[in-house]
This record gives sequence, structure tokens and C-alpha cells, in this order.
Amino acid sequence: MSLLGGGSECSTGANPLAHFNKHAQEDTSLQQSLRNQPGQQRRMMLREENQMSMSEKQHMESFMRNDQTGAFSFQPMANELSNIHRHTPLANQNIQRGNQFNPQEFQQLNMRAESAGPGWTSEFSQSVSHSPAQLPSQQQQPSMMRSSLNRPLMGGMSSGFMMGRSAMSHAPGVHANQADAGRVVEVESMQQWEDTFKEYEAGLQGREDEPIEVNANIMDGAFEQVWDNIQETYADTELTNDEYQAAWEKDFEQYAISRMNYGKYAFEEQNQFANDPDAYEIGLKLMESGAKLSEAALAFEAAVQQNPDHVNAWLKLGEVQTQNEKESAGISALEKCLQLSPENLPALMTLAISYVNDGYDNAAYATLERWIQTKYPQIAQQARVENPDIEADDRVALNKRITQLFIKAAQLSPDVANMDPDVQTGLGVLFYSIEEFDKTMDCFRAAIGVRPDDALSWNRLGASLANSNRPEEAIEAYSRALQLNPNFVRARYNLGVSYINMGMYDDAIEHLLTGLSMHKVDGLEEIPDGMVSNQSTSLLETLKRALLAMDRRDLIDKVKPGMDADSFRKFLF
Amino acid sequence: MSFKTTAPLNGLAKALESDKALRSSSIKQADSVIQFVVKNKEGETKAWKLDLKEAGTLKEISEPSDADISIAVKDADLNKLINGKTSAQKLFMSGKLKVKGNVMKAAIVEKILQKAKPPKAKL
Repeated sequence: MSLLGGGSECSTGANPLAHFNKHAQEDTSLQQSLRNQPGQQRRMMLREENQMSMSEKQHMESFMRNDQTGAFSFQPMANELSNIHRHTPLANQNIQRGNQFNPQEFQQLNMRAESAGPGWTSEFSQSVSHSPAQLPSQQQQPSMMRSSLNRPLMGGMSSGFMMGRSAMSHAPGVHANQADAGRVVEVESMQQWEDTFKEYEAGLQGREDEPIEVNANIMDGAFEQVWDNIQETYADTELTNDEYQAAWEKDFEQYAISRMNYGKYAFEEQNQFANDPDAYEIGLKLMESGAKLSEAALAFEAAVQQNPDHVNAWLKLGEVQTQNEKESAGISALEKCLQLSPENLPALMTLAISYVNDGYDNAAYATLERWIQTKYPQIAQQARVENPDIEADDRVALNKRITQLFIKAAQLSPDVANMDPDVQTGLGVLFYSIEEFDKTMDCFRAAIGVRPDDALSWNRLGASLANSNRPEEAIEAYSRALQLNPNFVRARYNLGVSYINMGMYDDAIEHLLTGLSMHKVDGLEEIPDGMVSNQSTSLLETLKRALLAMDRRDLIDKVKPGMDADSFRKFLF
Repeated sequence: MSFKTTAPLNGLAKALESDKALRSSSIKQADSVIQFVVKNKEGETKAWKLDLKEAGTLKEISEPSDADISIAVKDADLNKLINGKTSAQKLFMSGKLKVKGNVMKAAIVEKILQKAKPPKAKL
């Protein structure tokens, strides 16, 4: 942060609001002195004006282009802001920067506004009257800005102006939520505003010299990066937010679409089943007959490409890809499946497990909750009646709450004969994510008790054993899974991991390479390097690790997407 | 001197040293010299220099020196970050991770650090 303000001492201000006001006052005094004596101070201000106006202009332009994908999704910012208000001391420089330019700029703009006429100022005031209200989570920001505006010094025109400004900074968010009339007014006033802005910009540039220009650009780049940064961690922060947690309760469907979005499924370009009308049935047969999972995946890909609403094909595709150690592809497919069929139980369970594997625990809990609400509505209902105020927002509390629901579901059928193995699996996943591995293993063993031939459950048991430092037993469980399904690439991967942890790198590499060779589909032309859409980065990364550990650095550069496992073996031994 | 992060960071150092693809992609992303000052439970500190400007190396250094970005963090928190149990942004927001220099690069550093994560079994 010190890049922006020149000093990392932002943490010293115990009360961020006080800090805030202090800053605004400083700026005001600068303005006073501007009237009396131009010179150095004035220069300083111009520089900041320019810097902000540039970025503002960029944002404006992206809005005018209806560009929602760029730096300009305001929902994350709203979350970010509420986070900032909670943890403020370290974060306030960012806000300060926003605050800095406003009071300084208004005077310049004031002059312009007189030439632009009073009409558009009132339009701005109009637009501000509804926009903050529409985005309740953002209210804090405008109100803070206003508090610094209501100083007597800035009477008259300025307040209209400034409000317009704050309205504008929210406009993209508004734009996303609302169509029609209000927006038209805003867009019009935006247009005028931008014209005025250009004028102002042109006037300003005449007085600026080069080095400052460059500096401003650097700052803008930095600002963009903050945005990107915020957006990258969007998924994580938003789940810890009470408000969105509550919103989730109401509308899971939207959640499935927008929250943990892994994006569109990336199809392979070459697919021998592409035009086969029976692709789905072929896929099922391939799975039964023990063909490579990659081959079955291609069949299901073809099925959903022919019919994008084929729920079961999406489900099978997701299941196959996760077993094939292509987690991201599997998650994309499962998310798509749930978008079409929000209450699909197997998709919910498989997706929750994949989220846990990828470290998105909160998303996994939410998905498991949806599972239990769908399969055991009476339990979820009862919990809501008994304790209507349950609003767990942190990871541990959320885990505890969902675990309770699953335990109640398990208690419905205490005798082994009628036990629901899926409840046990869900419970096992919940314990696994908080690293209570003994309980995890009990659950997975119970599931195996009901379904002794389920390779997936054996692999899950193995993973819990591996994570509680029992690699030998883990290997036994993985081997059982591979006996049941020799093409189960995930179990191969897990075997590789366990052998690495035991220091047996040759064995690890052997299993990882076998896993990789399963991704090659016979009968297709040789696919050039990097042309496979869904890679298994985990297999490649883990293979690199094993090579590093056994000091075969000469081979590392040969480990890359599309590598041929068989020819790689020749280098190895 | 017991630091949880020593082993994974040494692993990352080794990976950077031998993996050309990792080295060049990391340099491309970060383009900076990043220094970590890690403090353990006993209050001892250890400094690491991650040179992603030219060399593409990670080394333990005896004294903190000049760097484009200097990151001060507790051993336990850094370990959580490496293992993906928390994010750089969360640590930063709660004051557990202090950055001198270009804070926007911290997110990139996070991604590179997670290459040091030991492989984990999957359910």
C-alpha cells in the first residue's frame, strides 16, 4: 500500500474514520491556499488530479462500452469495502486515495460546471438519489464521501457535483442490476459528463509535463491491479460475508451459477464420437466395459455438445473427469449439471468433494447443505424451526452446523442394513475438511460396509489414511480401489503422492506415468503438445516433484502438457 | 531455530533452480525482487530473498537487504499461505502480513509460493 501513499504507517490510525476526516481537512486547506498562492502546492494538486482523472476516465470508458468483465465489477468492491470497514487500519489508503481527489477536483469542475450549465448537475443529483439505495452494501461509501463534502467551504454547486460523482462511481453496479429508465438518464448524464471531462482533461494536459504523465500511468496500472486482485479473491471473501451467506440461503440456483464459477467446460477439439447420436449410451458402455476414462469423457462431451441440456451426460462427464484426475474440468461439468438441475443429488455430493479437494471448504459446506436439504428436507426444516437464527458465517461454525444436520440424518437409520452410505460419505467429507481423520475414516468405512465394491469409497478411505500419516495402509486402500477399477486415475495419483511421502520415488513416478498414459486415447491422431483442452496439472506437478526429489533435474523440462508417458520412461531407466 | 516454512521454501528453491518453465513463468509474472522476513514462535527471524527479477532464485539470506517488495509475516501464517489455508489478502487485511513496496505483487507472490505446497491426496 505504501506505493500509493508513501509510507506503510496506515496501521497507526486506530480509528479509520478519524483518519479519513483528517485527510479531507488537509485537502480542504490545500484548496484554500490555492486561491491565495499558486506555485508548488498547486502543482502537487494538479498531479493528483491528473492521476485520478486518467483512471476515472478509463473506468468511464469501460462503462460506456458496457464492459462488465474488466476492472469494473462493483459487487466485489462492495464486499471488499465492507471487509475494509471491518479491518480498516491496514486498508484505508485505498479509500483515502478515492477521497483525496474528490475535494480537490471539485473546484476545477466547478468552473467547468458553470459553463456546462446547471441542467446536468440536477440530473446528476437525480441519479444519485436512487443509485446508492439500490446497492445497500455500498451505502457506507457514499455516506462517507458526503460527510466530507458537507463542509461549509464547499457549498452551492459542489455538493450536487460531488454527489453526481459518487453516483457515477456506482453506475456500473447499478447498470448491472437495473435496466431501462433510470439507466437511460444516467447514461445521458454520463455522456455530458464525459464531454465536460474531456474538455477539462485537454485543458489540464497543456499544463502538465511529461514525467508526471508517466507517473500517473504507473499509478493507474497499479490501481487496475488492485481491482484484478480483488476480483481474483472474490470467491473466497464473499463466502465469509454474512449478507451473501443469507442471500445464498434464499437462492441456491444463483449461487450455483455465479459463486464458485469454474467457467465454461472446455471441450477437446478431436472427438471420435462428435457426430454419434448414441454418444451418451456409448459413454455408459465404455465405463462398464472398463475403457479409459478419457475415452468415456469424450463420449459424454459429444453427448452434451449435441444436447447442452442433457443433465445426466453433464453429471457423468463431471464424475468421469474427477475420477480421471481432471478436477477443474469435472467441477465445470458438475456446476453446469446443477445449473440445469439444481437438486441433482449425485452432482451435489461429487461437487462438494471436488470443492474440498480444491480447498474451497465454504463452497463445499454450502453444497452439502443443499444436498441434505434436498434428500432429508424434514431434518433441515426441523433445524430451522428449532433455531431460526442460525447464521453461521465462519468456516468452523458452518462446518459444525452442517455436520449436525448430517449426524441427524445418520441417526434416522441406526441399523447398518438401512444406512444411507451417502450420508456417511458426506459426513466423512465434513470431518476430512477439518482434519478429524479418525472420524473421517469411520464414516468412509461405514460407506464401504454398505458398498464394498465402490472404488471411490476405497480411494477416499485411502486419502484419509494418507493424510493422517499412515501411507502404508493408504496404499492398501488405493490398491483395492485400483483392483475394482484399474482406470481410476485419481487413485494412481494418490498412490504417487503416498510413495513420494514415503521417499519411494521410483514407484511414485511409475504410478504417475501410468496415470498420464491413461489420458491418451487410442485411435486418435497424435495430438500436438498443449493441444489437449483438459490437462491434469496435478499429475504433471507431482511428477516434477518426484523427479526433483530423486535429483533427476535433467528430465524436468520434459514434463509438460501433452507429454508421452511411454517415451518418457525410456529416459528414466 | 525451528521454522515450519523452511522445508517447503527449500523445496521451492530447488524447483526454481531446476525447472526452467517454472522459473521463466515466475519471472514473467513477478518481475521483482521479493524479500520475506519470517518470524517464528520463539521470536527468531529468518530472511529469504526471492529474486524474480533476473536470476529466478530463492535463497536464505543472513540479513534483510534491499528488495522491491519486503514482506514480514509469521512462520505459522506463511505456512498456512503456502498450504492454501489462507490467502495473502486475508492475512494482509487482518494485519498479519505486512508489505513494504508494491502490494499488488503480493497476490502473484502467493501463487508462486503455493508451488511449494506438498502434494496432497484427493478424495
